[in-house]
Amino acid sequence: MIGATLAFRPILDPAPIGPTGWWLLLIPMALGVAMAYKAVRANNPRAWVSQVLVMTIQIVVGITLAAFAAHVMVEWVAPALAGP
Amino acid sequence: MELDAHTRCTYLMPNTDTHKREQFTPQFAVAGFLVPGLGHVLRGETWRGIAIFAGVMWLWVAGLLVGGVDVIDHVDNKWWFLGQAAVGAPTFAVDIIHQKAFKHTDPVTGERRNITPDEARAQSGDPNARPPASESLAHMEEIGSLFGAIAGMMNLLCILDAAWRSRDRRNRESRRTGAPAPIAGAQRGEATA
Repeated sequence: MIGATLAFRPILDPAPIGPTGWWLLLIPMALGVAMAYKAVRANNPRAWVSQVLVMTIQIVVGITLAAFAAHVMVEWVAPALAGP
Repeated sequence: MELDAHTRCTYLMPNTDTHKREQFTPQFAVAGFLVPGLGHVLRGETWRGIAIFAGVMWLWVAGLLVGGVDVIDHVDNKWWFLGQAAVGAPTFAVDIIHQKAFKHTDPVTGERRNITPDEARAQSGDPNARPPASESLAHMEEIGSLFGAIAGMMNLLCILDAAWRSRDRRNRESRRTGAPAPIAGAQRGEATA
């Protein structure tokens, strides 16, 4: 893992994020979506900054809740419905 | 809801000047396709254009950093490329560089493809040689491609906004919500309705 990290060439190679940390990319993705979307909607730069922060948090929390709901369905509800 | 006289005139009365200025303006769409946000800059909304550029390019560059240059490929990744293409000139420039500089012709099939690590070592004679760009696989390829495609979809939204949404409509919305005027024209007191 250390060797792979040292050998990383940005843009030429995929990022050595590994199988456990990829879901954290939700945060920069939510931030980018909020920046572009609120650029169209906000009335001034100051409002844009605050609305971007709020929308980023909303997206991250919403996706996290959806993931938790999917986890509950797959791990608990579906096995319970399937029976012993 | 009770509307005052000014609001009634603005929203309810037909205003041919305003409608004329809300017509499709393709030059701003083309500008927004060449460089994200340029359409808004040219129509006088400089901060909005800069904000759009920042948001779209943040997603696009993040996609390149996560998945590598391999995620922008109109041959091997063509469905994702359709979404990424809406970012405009940057995507096409990177795709051309990818096809020309990082691929070679397969000696058996004759197709253009990425150079494998074994081929890179054989070509250079260096046992530590690496191909000019690595193949992107699994999560990193999916997420990198997704970042680029989302950037394209967001820029498409901004292109449509630059082409159709007028300063006048924005100023009316600003008056309705009580927020300060969003664009320089209204702050200078230009007639908008």
